[in-house]
Amino acid sequence: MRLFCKRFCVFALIFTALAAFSPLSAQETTDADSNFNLPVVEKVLQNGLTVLILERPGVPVVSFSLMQPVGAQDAPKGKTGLPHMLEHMMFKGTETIGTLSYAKEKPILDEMDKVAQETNDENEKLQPSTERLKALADQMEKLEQEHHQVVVKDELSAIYTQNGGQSLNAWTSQDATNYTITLPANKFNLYATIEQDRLSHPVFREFYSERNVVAQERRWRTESNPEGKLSEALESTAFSASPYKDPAIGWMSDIMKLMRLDAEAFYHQTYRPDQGVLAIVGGVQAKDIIPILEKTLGQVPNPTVPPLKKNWTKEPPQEGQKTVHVYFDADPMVMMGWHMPNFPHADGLALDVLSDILTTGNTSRLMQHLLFGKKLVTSISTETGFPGDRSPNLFVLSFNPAPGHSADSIVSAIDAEIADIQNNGVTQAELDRARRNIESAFLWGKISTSDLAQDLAYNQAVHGDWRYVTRYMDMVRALTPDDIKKVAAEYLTSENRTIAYLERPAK
Amino acid sequence: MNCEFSILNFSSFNSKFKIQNLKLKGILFSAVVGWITVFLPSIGFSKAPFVPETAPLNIQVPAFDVKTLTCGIKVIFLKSDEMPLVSINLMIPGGSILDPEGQEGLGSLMTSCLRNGGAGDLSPEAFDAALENKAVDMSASVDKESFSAGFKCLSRDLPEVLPLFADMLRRPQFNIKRFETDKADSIDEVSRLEDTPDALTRVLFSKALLDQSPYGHSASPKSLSLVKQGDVLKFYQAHLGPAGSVLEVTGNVDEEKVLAQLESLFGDWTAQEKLPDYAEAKSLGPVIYFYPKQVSQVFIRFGVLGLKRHDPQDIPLSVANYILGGSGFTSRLMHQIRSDRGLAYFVDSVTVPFNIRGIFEVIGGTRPDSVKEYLTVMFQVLNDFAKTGPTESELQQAQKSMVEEFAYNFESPFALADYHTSLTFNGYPDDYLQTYRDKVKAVTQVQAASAASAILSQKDWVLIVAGPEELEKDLEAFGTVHKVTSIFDPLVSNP
Repeated sequence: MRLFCKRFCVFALIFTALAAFSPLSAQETTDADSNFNLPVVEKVLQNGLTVLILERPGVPVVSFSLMQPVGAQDAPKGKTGLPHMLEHMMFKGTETIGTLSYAKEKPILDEMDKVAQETNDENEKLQPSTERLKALADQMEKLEQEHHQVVVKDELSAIYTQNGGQSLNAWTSQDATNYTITLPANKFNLYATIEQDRLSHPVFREFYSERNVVAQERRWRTESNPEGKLSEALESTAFSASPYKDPAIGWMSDIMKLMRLDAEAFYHQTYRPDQGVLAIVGGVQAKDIIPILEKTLGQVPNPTVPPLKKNWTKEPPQEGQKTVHVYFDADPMVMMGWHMPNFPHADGLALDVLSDILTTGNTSRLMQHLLFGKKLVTSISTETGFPGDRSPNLFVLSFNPAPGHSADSIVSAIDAEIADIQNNGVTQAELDRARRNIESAFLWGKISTSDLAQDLAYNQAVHGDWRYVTRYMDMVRALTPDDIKKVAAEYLTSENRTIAYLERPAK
Repeated sequence: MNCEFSILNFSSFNSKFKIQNLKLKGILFSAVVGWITVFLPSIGFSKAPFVPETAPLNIQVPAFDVKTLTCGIKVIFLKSDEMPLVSINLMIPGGSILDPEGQEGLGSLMTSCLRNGGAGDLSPEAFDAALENKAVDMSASVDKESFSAGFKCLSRDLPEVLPLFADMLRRPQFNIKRFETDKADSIDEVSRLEDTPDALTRVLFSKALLDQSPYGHSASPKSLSLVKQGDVLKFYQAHLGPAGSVLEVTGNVDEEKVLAQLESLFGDWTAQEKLPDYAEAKSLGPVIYFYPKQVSQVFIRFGVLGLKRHDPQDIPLSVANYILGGSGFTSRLMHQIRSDRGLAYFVDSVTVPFNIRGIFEVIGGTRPDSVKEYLTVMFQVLNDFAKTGPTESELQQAQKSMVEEFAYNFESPFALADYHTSLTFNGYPDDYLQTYRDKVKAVTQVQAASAASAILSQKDWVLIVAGPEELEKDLEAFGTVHKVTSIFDPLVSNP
């Protein structure tokens, strides 16, 4: 279950990107190599959109990552999941893509909004009228049928697919929203043109049927999945004030009353070219594509409304251990989270390394002692940066108890392992091995153009500088065994911890 | 862990045999270089975007250097000096179909013990340390029809890592303590398959469709509990060897040196037992298996027997499947079920060939109160497609997509080598990559329709559903329903 958080991804770029320009021989790569010169071409277009280009000559594809530094934690109160819903709507087309006639379509969309608002209003009443709700549902269905006559389904996706687009997708995390696609390298113009239109003239058609799709997504990923349920319980229990307490997909009751006009308003507040980042990696040349970008994506206007002011509530210090029990028809699982600082705090980096020392590989401490040694667990893992890393977040440890061992007895064994590190520290050999693991994982996890593009865009958009790609390992290399001991003592305490137990309900 | 949410389930894009149907009304595609209109003229709003058409992409398939070791292993080299990295992957014929009856899961457990149980002169702990001190990611695994073992490392470490790899494959220790841990972990992992609707329906689907064949068998806590350390050793000795095996070496390597080292490490490896011939599987269908589980999203798998590997219908069916349910957003199933009705987050179809007839499967999920509607629409789409196949326009668009997206295989030498190696291992011709696009382009509407019809008209379909208890009566509208209380019990068939 260990996931390298996004900031980890960046180091791989060092090797891969160098590959494009200054191939390294094996002999040239030593542990001391760290000051790599990543040949990213950086260009700010006239509307403020930051473009990062990494040329990879000879590769017949080009990957794009268009990242906005807006995520689930930016959702307005009572509208959790709105940023994710907006992400879905960005696939619905424009004033000219996805419709036979936007002029005919617009009044229908407006009418749908009215019906949806009336439905919300009725549902908010202490005693909603079933007759009224049924009449509104019938009205909505009629409008949907009418709308069906003018809509061209999924046309934006179809254009890309027909042109060889792969990995056409998008994701919304707590911190950012990202749009990806990989195209044959000769389709650059297609991307620039379509994206200019998508960002300049989006139309959030089919909003209310897509709301049902998102509800299905929530049921599938979270409500019908033991791990999904448990991690949601951990988030919402560990955080009491930070917006990280709300799930990125949103609460079901919020999802089901989201409105198209909410998404439009949020779009104009947050999807600003002057805050966005576009990373391009693949078989293209910067000198050829920059003029095209200026004429296309560079023309997307910044909205006239003021940008959303980030005003996240800070999580107060936790003053005692919290626990939560989730009942689900599945074998037991446990997740525990300790509060930790956000990137690029040095303690966060030390916790990244500690995570590796604890559970990466058969030689890691908890694998050796608890899985192979005492056989208390059948799997165990750790990760940092949960559920995001722009705000203070969690160091998470998850395990599946071996049959016959209670979750609490395993928690005690884990506590003893942590106490050992708090008292006696880790060895230089453990630190070196962790560092090599992190380097290797970066290297191998990120050889694809698509991953490279996302890493560059994420670091620029969320952390403010794509160069963290190259700085991260330098920062990790500066750590000493004492740094690891110190963060174990400071953060991995019971007062700072939340434990979420998944248990089978009694029959 | 779900900290990100996507517009589309990524797994929809992972199959080589998938995706794409396109309805691009109003889009003009030009065969010549020039400017084309991407959409109809707009009325009173923004202008329709224009896209300059570009010259076709010239993709060169790189030269794979192929050698054969004395023991018979075919070695495929793809040299790439861009990065100081090497990837090695060995594929051996066999797989979980070789699991003895009553000890299902043995092959999988053997591969875990192979990696974890120590090798050569090294204890399990020393072997782990030798690899992990160099951050070498070495693993072994099993699939239905193959065993795989491989590793990734920095190229400078290759001469020291290759002997460890050979020790793992040729001199495993199968340490008893590690065997016990791996066995307990495997039992726990298998028992957790009933925890999620996705996993439990996968097991039931395989059992129902590939009945009476080792292809349909799956491990249970009981079958694994019967495995002893000696069984693992015996299984290993009988089934791991060089016959029919393919080894892929990709990255920054000196081919001659690596070949010489491989010859010294593997040249005298003796051949494993010959593989048995397998009879075709039989479906238990037409039948519905229903597993009651209190979840808010119902998981649904529908399927019929698919094609045997190398069937002449392989590419026509891939094209047809692309249109039907393999193309993500733009497939017929996705249009009808997700876009039009909001009935599902994902629905897709896949065709997977085996050395016997494989599977054709439609996978999706919906909320409990819309299962009836989901199934009605799904059956309607499948029936319509079986009767009339794709339209000429759908076919052309799918062919264009599949030809264009071929470039994606060349994103990195490592991904390309993996793909090429699996093609070689599975007996595809050497020029498969060179000729693939022409074969896709040559598929006619009649061929695609006929391939789809032959598969979708089969009457012995199976439908697997996991969801709340009260669904049972809704399912009865579609056929005979058998309730399943454990995925590990034998399935009851229709009289």
